Amino acid sequence: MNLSLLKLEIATCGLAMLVLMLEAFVPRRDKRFLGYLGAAGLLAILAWSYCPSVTAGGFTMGSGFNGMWVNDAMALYFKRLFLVGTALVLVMSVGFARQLEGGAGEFFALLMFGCTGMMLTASVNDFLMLFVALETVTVSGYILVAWLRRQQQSLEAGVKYLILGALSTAFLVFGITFIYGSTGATGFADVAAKIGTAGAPLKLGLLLVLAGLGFKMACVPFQAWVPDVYQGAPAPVTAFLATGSKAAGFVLLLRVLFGALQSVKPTWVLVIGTLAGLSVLYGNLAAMPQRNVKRLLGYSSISHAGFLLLGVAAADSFGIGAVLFYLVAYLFTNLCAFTVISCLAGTLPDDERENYAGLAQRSPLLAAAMTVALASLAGVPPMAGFFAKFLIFTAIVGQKMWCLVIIGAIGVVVSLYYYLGVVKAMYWQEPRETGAITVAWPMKALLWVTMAAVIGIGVCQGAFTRWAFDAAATLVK
Amino acid sequence: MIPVTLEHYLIVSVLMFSLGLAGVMLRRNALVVFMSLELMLNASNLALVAFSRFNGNLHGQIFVFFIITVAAAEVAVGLAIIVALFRRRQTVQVDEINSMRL
Repeated sequence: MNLSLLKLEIATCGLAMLVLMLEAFVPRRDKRFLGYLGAAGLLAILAWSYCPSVTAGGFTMGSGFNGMWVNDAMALYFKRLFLVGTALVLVMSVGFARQLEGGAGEFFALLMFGCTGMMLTASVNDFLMLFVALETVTVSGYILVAWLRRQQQSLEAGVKYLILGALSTAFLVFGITFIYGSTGATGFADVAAKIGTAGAPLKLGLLLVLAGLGFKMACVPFQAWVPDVYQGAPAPVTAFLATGSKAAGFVLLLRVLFGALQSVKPTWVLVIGTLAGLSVLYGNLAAMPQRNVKRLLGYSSISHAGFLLLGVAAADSFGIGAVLFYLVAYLFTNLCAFTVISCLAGTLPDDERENYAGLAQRSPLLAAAMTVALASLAGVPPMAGFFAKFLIFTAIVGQKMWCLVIIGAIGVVVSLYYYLGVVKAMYWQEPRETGAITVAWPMKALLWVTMAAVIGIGVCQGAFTRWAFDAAATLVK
Repeated sequence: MIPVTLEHYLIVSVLMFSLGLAGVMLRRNALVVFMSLELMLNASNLALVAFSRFNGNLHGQIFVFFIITVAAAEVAVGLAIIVALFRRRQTVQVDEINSMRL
């Protein structure tokens, strides 16, 4: 047992518990500072992850705990992504704290416990570990989604997320049971060794595990929860689900596919390709008539799960590199969009598109940030989202999957319609109410940081693609 | 008397899982739905213990401990959410939870 393999996770979990304890002693009006403390702590852990003792192939890299745990470049890549994402969501939650009844400190702590779970998913190398890591994320998610317990929508979203989440957990566990039954082991390497000789029960098991992961990734046909939960949950929580939780689903998918199922690649490429095509079509077509901006982003999240799966279906190191880059671009883009929604949550009656009419006159900064985010989601150059989609398309063209290329292209064209509908409302429609909307300075800073990241990653993609491709190279040999 | 083999355990387990799934699909009371979900998890527990016995190693039984623990956490959170919903709406019928539509 080598606990130093887990030191980033232990630090994150410790930080969460510290915030939870301080919650009891800090006076009510100062509670929001706990959010800043958490964000600063997570960024410090991020900086620590660049220390030579963590990275330089030393004692914290490699696998441990009887092969259940693997720390490689891809694990580190995802852990950094989760740390940055959660730190930004914490700052966003501080800006949102007026609407959080009850202890804001618990809210921050739960975000950090969720982050710990997501960091665990990055290093999973065993089905038991997969289950525990995934549930840490999911159970924190249930509480966060239902947090606004005096608001009907938040509670309803919580119940839906709970029931569908628990259902997907049941499928996942039943799947793992059959994998264990037919191979006598739960480690990815052991399963990979026996996959040639095992029969139908193993295949059934793996299919059920994919269903459980599909729920986290929000791809068709496991997408039923997405629109309602995205609409009902508090905006920072939606941001957390859309960025971190989705990325956690994808890192687990990559670990299972390349750790345990490497030898049956042609079979799963077919399955993943089908899910990808369906998700892109469903997400984009169902988003077109939506009037609620959060709900629209929910459908958009389904379509982006589809684009990410296109990269997984390419199944070479280029495709996986594209997926890793896409997740980072998507993280900053979504955080930018949900920061705007958080800022407006206290001012506008709800998130209907009509309320966004004339936003450019009431707050030019919010309108500009939303436009940058939506342009990046739609894939307009020079935003990060454009280059991410470009890499994905290059990967599937390289594999000569023409059918998927056409579906992807249809998806991109359709998505322009509904994203630009929101932009049109903000700039070319008259506002219902006048009066400037003021934005507090931490939220302003967050808007500038995420906007700069979205444009910066798009313009200087070289460095970011190199990180992503280096990380992907450790997974795909 | 017939000997109890792995197949017997698996048949019971699959039956439990199917019953749970049917409950989740058909019942309208959130509490009963939640109970059915727990039944599905327990179906896995039974199969895991049986597999563990017939595979000749203890991995499966250890897995069961983790499932029980996680299920307990899930129940604690889940019941709290359902109670909060009841306080707000005075109902736990899932088909009345429909304030969010297109």
